[in-house]
Amino acid sequence: MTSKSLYFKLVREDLKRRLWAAALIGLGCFFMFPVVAAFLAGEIRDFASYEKGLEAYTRDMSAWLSFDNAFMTFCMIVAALICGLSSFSYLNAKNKVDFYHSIPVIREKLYAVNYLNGILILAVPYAVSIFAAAVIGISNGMEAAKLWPLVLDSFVLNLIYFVLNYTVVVIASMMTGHLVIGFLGSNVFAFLIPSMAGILQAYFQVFFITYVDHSETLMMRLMHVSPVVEYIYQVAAYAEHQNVWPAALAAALVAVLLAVAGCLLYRKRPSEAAGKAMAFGVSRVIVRIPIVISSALGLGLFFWGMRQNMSWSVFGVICGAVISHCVIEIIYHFDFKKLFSHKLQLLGCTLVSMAVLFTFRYDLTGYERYLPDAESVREAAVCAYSFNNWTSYGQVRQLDDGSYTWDWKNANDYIFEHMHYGDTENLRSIAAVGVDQTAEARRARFARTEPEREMAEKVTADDSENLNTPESEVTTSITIRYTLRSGRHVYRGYNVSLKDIMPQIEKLYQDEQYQKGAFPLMERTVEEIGTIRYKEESRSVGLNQMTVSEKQELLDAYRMEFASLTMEQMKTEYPIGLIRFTRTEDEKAIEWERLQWEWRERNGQVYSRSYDDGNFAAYDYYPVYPSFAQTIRLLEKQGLRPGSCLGDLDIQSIKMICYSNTKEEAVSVMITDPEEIRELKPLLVLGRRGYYNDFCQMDKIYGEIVMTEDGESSIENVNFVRGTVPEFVKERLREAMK
Amino acid sequence: MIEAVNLTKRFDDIVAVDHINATIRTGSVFGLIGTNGAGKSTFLRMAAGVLRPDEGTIKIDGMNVFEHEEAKRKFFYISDDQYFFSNATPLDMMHYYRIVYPEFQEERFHGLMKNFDLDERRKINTFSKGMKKQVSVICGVCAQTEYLFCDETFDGLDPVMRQAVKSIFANDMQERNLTPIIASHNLRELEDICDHVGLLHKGGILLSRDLDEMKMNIHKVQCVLQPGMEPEDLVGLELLKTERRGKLLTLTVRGDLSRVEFIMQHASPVFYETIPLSLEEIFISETEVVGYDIKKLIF
Repeated sequence: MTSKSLYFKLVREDLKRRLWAAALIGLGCFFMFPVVAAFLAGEIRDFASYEKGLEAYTRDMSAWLSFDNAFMTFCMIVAALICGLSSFSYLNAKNKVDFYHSIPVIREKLYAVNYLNGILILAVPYAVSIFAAAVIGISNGMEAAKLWPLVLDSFVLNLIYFVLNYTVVVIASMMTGHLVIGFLGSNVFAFLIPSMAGILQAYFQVFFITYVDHSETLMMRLMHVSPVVEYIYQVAAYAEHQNVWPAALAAALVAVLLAVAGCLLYRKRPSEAAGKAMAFGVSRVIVRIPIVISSALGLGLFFWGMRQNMSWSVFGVICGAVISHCVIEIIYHFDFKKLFSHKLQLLGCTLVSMAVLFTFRYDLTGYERYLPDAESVREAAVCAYSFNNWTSYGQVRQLDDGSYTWDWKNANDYIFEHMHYGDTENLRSIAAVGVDQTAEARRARFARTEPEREMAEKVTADDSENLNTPESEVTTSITIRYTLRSGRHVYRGYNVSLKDIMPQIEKLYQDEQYQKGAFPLMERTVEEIGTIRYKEESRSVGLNQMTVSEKQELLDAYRMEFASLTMEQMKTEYPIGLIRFTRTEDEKAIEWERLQWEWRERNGQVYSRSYDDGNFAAYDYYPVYPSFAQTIRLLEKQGLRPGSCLGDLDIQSIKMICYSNTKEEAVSVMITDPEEIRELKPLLVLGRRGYYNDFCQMDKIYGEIVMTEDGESSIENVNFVRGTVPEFVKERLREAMK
Repeated sequence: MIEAVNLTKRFDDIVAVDHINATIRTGSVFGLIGTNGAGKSTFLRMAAGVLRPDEGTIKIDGMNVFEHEEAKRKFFYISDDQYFFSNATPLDMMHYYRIVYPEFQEERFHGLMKNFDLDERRKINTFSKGMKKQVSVICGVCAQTEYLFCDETFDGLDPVMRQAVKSIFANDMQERNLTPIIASHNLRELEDICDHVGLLHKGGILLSRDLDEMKMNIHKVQCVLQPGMEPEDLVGLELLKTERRGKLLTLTVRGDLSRVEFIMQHASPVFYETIPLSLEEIFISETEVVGYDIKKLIF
């Protein structure tokens, strides 16, 4: 008898032993695939036309069979748990261990047999069922060319993450000697590190004002250590049409390495571990200490959240440590009387947790005061929210099915990736102000009692009841990533009062490296540009006839004027319109989107389009200020009249509104006199454009206009630049307030 | 031959097997006796390659047993709580054993099952404890291994079955030199089966002797001596124990039977006769000599 044939005979015999698991999974797969496929096929007859029915069927089937089916993800995780725990459950019983370990089959072979069967139990019924579902789908009219790749993707990706999760459960089984403890161990592997990372991140968020949440943090990376969390991440990424294959292949490699590690553990695992909680003595400590510390910190944070009081936090830490330690000891020993075993470890964990709590609360490491030496900083990236909060980061991407998506990128992530700001002195100067203001903010945040906190908050509160809006303190959020000479990245975020950093922030804005890193348009070439679009209010024009040189001229002029914007301009001007230098790919997406809308409108699926309906058409616009003379001149050369749209609006009435501090409801007056409307018209700032400038302060009086455009009436919100509301309006509002 | 050298196994703070040195020769039935917790099962589990020794070695025919397929093919291990697959029938078990023991005799299995009046197709979990042990032994002998490790296998078997098993063992020992190694806490269970006995106590081996040799070398003499004569006056007789009931003496003596009889005849007692010792009595005598009270160890 050859070893190979022995192996396959053992595989067959083991499958006989685990028929219940195979039957359970087989039954689940049968209902989840062929039955659902046949059931959904009934949809086709529910629609008036076959085409509509088929479209709905195709959509629902594709969603069901796709990798981003969240229910499937859940089922795969449950299946991994069932298969993993059942594969090596014999290790938990002495008589079974005696049986399997006394027969003339080495452990490596036993491991390979049981490990492989755990995968086959799922893979075979899953493959058969999904194949059957695809055949049913195709026989009901779905396009085979589109369905097969989707099914194959889904099958392979789900199987990879199943194997990854299954292998982790197998390792948990190897490290424990009891089925229930194996289940708990699997949960520890799945959630301990993400929980620890989450708790640590929560400490940073709660106690450190300058902490910056971004995808590069250690905590975010630690989330991927969990096979369950990683699986969910990739499913979410797939749903967002990201390429998940590199991560999936990495997961497959990790699964292989873990499988080898599982085999090594099996060789090392003592047979006498059957029935014990933990198979290896050393793993008891390794598991207990992080759980106890995490529980202590978690409960400490919970009590902090409830009362913002250190005494309660300390109470939480002690309770968390003692309770978790005792529960773990009871589980380890299966004996309630052993709950206070390893008292020194309990004491150590409590002290460490306490030290962490105090370190965060009192910033013992000087985290908030961090200011690097100018010499130690190689470069930096700065995200000044007030400058770029309107910017669209990301790009259009065409999917395999011909549709388009916009791959959004977080502003911080984009800027950290693209910016190489070198004026470290200026940055340090901004950061120094940020550090000082953070110290004040900490005092306010951690004021011990409610009255003290209210007092601290009152310092910056605007208590004016006057209709004349005072110049309020404008703050901006600034996020910095220092790249030190050592290559290390340090992140800090500040909420800084603009008046304290005005020269520095203007210098920052006008820095070429800053602009290139913060505004994607500054790096765009004319070759990339398909069309230039100009928009005012709801009117959007595509300048399709422009030559390359005209485009280049307009691009250069706009970039020059945009880059030269001063703080004074931003404080006093409002954009008159928006311009977009659309990439060729963007144009295709916009056209695709337009056709989609037309088709839906034709088929009665949509009756009105709102502003947000046209996503691709709405992204990536830049503001055009009245002082952009060169840009405006070039736009006029193309037959446009920038700034005229507002004047052309047929406004029937303007409702002027103001909230009073003494009345709960807003006070309003209606302006219907054409003369008064004409007087107000040039002062109106439509809400959409206001979004493009944070520096120009709005008046507390705002309005609603009723206007007619292309024969249709609509209501729009409008604002006024601070101090520009005419006296006659204020007078009427005062009257109304009485 | 099975050879244990300095074999040691600890479970946390408990030393289950403590530096045991023992040799089990082939072709005989080796009985391993001792109280609960003496280390019998641990010794057998190490011999079966289930447990890894903490110290020392245990070899079968010169091969370390742990994780050694060739060494493991030489024995079949029947644990004190033998595992059968859930809902399995004896036939299912046979199919499995046939895969892992290449020499498994299927025909013999069917024959023995029939002889023992066991239904091959009945679920084992419906069998009595004794029937399960019979199935284990049948599987064990049909596996055709050189050694058969039985942990408390004979406890619970009725005398008829024990006799039947004994005859199977005797047959296999004669035909293919089978070496059964039987662990039990009950001396009486082993008496009529074993050729060689090892006594385990507190993880150590107290003594290891050939049963025939022990039986040949130790005797019980019941006698009434001449008035005025004491057992100590029987010159040349190696007395292990003396019991007195009136004038009737019961002497446990070591030595060759003919020599014992010669000395007794020479002393001209009023009456004497030699009677055989049970294994229990032999052990009582032997262990008392080395300072142990066997009744506390085994009974």
